[in-house]
Amino acid sequence: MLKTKELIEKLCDIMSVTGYEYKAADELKELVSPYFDSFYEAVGGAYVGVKKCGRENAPRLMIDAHFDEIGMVVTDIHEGGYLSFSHMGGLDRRIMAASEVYIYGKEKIYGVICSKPPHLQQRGEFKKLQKLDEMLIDTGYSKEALEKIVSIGDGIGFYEKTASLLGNRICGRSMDNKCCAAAAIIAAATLEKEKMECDLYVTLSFREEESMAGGCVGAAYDIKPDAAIVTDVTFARFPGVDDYESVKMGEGPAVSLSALTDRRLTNSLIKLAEGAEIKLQRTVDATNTGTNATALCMCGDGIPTAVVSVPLSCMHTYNEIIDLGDIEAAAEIFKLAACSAEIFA
Amino acid sequence: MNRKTEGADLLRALCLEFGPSGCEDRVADLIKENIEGSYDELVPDKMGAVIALIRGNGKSDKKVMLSAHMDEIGFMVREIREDGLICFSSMMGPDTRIMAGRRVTVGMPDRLNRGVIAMKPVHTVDRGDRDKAAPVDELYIDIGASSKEEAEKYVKIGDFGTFESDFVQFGENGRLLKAKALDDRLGCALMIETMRKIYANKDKLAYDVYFAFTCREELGMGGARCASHKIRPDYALVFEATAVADIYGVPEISRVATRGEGGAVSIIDKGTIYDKELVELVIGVAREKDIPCQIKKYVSGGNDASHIQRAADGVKCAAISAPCGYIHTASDVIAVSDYEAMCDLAVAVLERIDKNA
Amino acid sequence: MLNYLRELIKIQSVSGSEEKIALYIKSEMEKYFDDCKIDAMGNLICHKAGEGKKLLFCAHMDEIGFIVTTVDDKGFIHFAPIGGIDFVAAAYSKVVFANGVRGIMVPEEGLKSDDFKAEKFIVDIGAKDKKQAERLVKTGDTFAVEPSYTRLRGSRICGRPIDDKIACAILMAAARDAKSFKNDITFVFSVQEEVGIRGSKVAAFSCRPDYGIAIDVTATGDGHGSKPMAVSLGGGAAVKIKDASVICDGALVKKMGEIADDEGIKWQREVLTAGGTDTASIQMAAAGCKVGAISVPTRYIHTANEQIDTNDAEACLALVVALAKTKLA
Repeated sequence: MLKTKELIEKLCDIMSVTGYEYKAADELKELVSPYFDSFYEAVGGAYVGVKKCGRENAPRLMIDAHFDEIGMVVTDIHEGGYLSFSHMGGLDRRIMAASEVYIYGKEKIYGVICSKPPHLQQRGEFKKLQKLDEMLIDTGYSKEALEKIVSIGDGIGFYEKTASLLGNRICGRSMDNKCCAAAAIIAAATLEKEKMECDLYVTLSFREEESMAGGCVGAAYDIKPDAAIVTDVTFARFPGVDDYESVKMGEGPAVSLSALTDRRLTNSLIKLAEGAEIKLQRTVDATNTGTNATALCMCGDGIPTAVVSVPLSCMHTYNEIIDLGDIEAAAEIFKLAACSAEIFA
Repeated sequence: MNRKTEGADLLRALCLEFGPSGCEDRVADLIKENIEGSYDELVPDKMGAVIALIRGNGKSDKKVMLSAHMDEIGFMVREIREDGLICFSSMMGPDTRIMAGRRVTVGMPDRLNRGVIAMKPVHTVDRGDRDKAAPVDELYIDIGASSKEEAEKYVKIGDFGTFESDFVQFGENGRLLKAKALDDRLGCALMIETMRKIYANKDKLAYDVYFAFTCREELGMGGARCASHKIRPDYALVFEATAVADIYGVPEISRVATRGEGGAVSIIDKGTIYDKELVELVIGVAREKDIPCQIKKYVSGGNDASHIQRAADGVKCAAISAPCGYIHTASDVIAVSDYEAMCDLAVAVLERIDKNA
Repeated sequence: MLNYLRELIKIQSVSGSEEKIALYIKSEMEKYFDDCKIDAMGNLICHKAGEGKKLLFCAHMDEIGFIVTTVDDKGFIHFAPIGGIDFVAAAYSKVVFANGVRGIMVPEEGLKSDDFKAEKFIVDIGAKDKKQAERLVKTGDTFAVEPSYTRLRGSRICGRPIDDKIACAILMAAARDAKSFKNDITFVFSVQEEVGIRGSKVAAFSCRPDYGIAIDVTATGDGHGSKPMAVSLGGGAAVKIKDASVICDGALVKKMGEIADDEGIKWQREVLTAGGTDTASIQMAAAGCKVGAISVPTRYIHTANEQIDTNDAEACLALVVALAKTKLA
């Protein structure tokens, strides 16, 4: 039995900073290929797991979860082993001071992002965030030794490992979007082939955090799916976040109602969920879903696309919080979709 | 379970323990277990300090006190919201840049929970406010509860919090250590190791030595003041961590001290002008025994010495601090070699005051 | 008294480095007091046992100054202030180190006086590089603006540091009358007043007096553009009612006024809206005591030219002696 928490933990342990997803290939393949008939890396930028129902000319369902995570890139190496860096994906500068990172050079090196000692700060400076190019990473190496291991252009990821909170909740780095990837993988792993009404393509795509289009588009161009579900995280309700742009954690995943997504496909997902008494929330993203769906739906001849998202707190920090129940519910919905002929009408 | 350890394991265990200012019980217990068999007497203290006495051979009537504080920077639970999020007060100043997004431990000594200092996603911060730190009243601790009712089963108003942070050895040949609360558990670990060494040879010790593991230093209240008032030592040595700026791009005049060049001996800081003779003695002993040590080159910070020096009718004080990068965050960083040098220096200085007394 | 002042001015005593001046004062005090000792922090505590209440008089020995933090490659000395330094007053002054080395205190070129602060200043001792400078000066050395003593017209003098060496001189002069004292008298020459009234606190703790009286300088309201204040140069000894750090004991203040009137000593009432003195720490030491303070009106405090009227200092001296001679209840 595939345990949700364990799978998420293992997926999060795989470094996949935007632009460095290629480094994840071996680890990811070893971890998830047993759950698919085939597993390959698409040229466009996605790992693709395929599970076929076994019938000729079955319709194709694509479930896309981006696999990249926010991180950084080395831009300079200084005396005393200090590194300058820039962002890969949208970094939250509120959390950077004294944060811990791994630098992925020839080997993995630990570092701490320097915070400014109080005696060097102007009065009231604590209210201002430093610019990224003013920040440094302390590696504890001499410049000479460091240059043998790290080069400009190497990737940097946050340090945090997954950890448990109360009940079903967990926190850690790169929950965005490994938790959704886990939901898609769990769905594929637990689907019974005889019940499937389609061939399932799970794409774990690259570069969402930088381009919002990602590698899924190229992969889809080859796969030519008849329907696609993009799964990504969305804002959990939180003080200061408007109710209309957030959903409640622990109350199930959410479908996006948007001018870009396919309403018929979306409605069939809602109906499937209702039939199985799975809690499904709704978000309204009128003109932009903020996910790969925006680009994916216009790929090739066009792909009917729906978005199923999972509530997440502290997005783009190294302690993103999710509820495992929401992930399991999302996986159930994906399974129902794969076993339903109606979604392809 | 035997929690008696030494070296890096001792330092690790002390750093990982929960002990914000005003709630040092768990650290105190751990220290008591580790000093067992290395003292003659425990001196009761009303403020919660652990004070252990090693008696000298009676040749001198002088008293020496070594001091390090057990507490670390922390938080306190202020309110629990209907949605289960926890509002807190900072006990580490107003700089939220070192709090936002961090993992924390929250509760009381007998019931600890993990939480995250959560704030609204950066995507929803107005463009014009993206250069601003998260306001402290927009930070909440999320322990994973979905309602006030659930949260209150685990956490109550007035509970304490600290950072959760791994103990990591890193850098070239593992020369650096990162942990929370190295300020000042390194001082506690050093005193424990010193007690073990001194106690083994205590017949050579001319006078009584008190080891004070004190409380509430980070509040600036000086739990050490009460310990000092009670003990009335003639000499006090404070073992601490001090903020340094030995990072790339900082001019030499602002660096304070350099990690890896030994313990920093203070001549003056914002709270104390140290006793000249004692400072010279410390530096002299270090030179003579070839133990790395440096002079703190910037007038900044302060520590328990300010309270110890001026408790009762005055005490001659010196302070030796490990240069600590990113101090007062979840990621205090010190050099292993500085800690080791300070341990050596502590023992060497004790042997020497002996001869002067 | 003024001879003492001239001697005291010559002995540098930046806060934390009062050893030398303490030894000088001790050698004089030992002529008149039975028991003179230096405590753990360096306070000089001189005791003259007597009947009745315990009176503590306190004057601080330390002066404001500077401490070396680093020497840079050009041989310039970087430093931090000790005590309340006014850098506008200090800019381009000559300074003297404890070992006699001299230098000039210089701000960054072109720096506006509004932006003056320690980090923007160096001391140029004329060394050509770091190596040469470090032969003369090292981290932790203290120094101060050059001392001076100048007679102005009539009874006025100026120079530095008059704060608070004039008070030390007053107590030393008062000690000559020790035989006529009627109470149990302790004179404390305290350390580290300028960095936060630190020394007097522990001295008062060990003495546990019934009454504590600090002698210090106070500002005046009669200078060029002074803030309104009912203290004038030449107006006599100032009896403190309150300052920013302390409210003096009302009964003691009244008694001091009565004694002054009885003895024909010229005096004035002092309410200082800023600043603090050892009075505050004496009041709060151990279980506390009743405090008062006698101040010498002084213009241009903490500059190189602090100005007083010696008649005021004489009045302060007379009031100290009168108090010590009066049997207090």
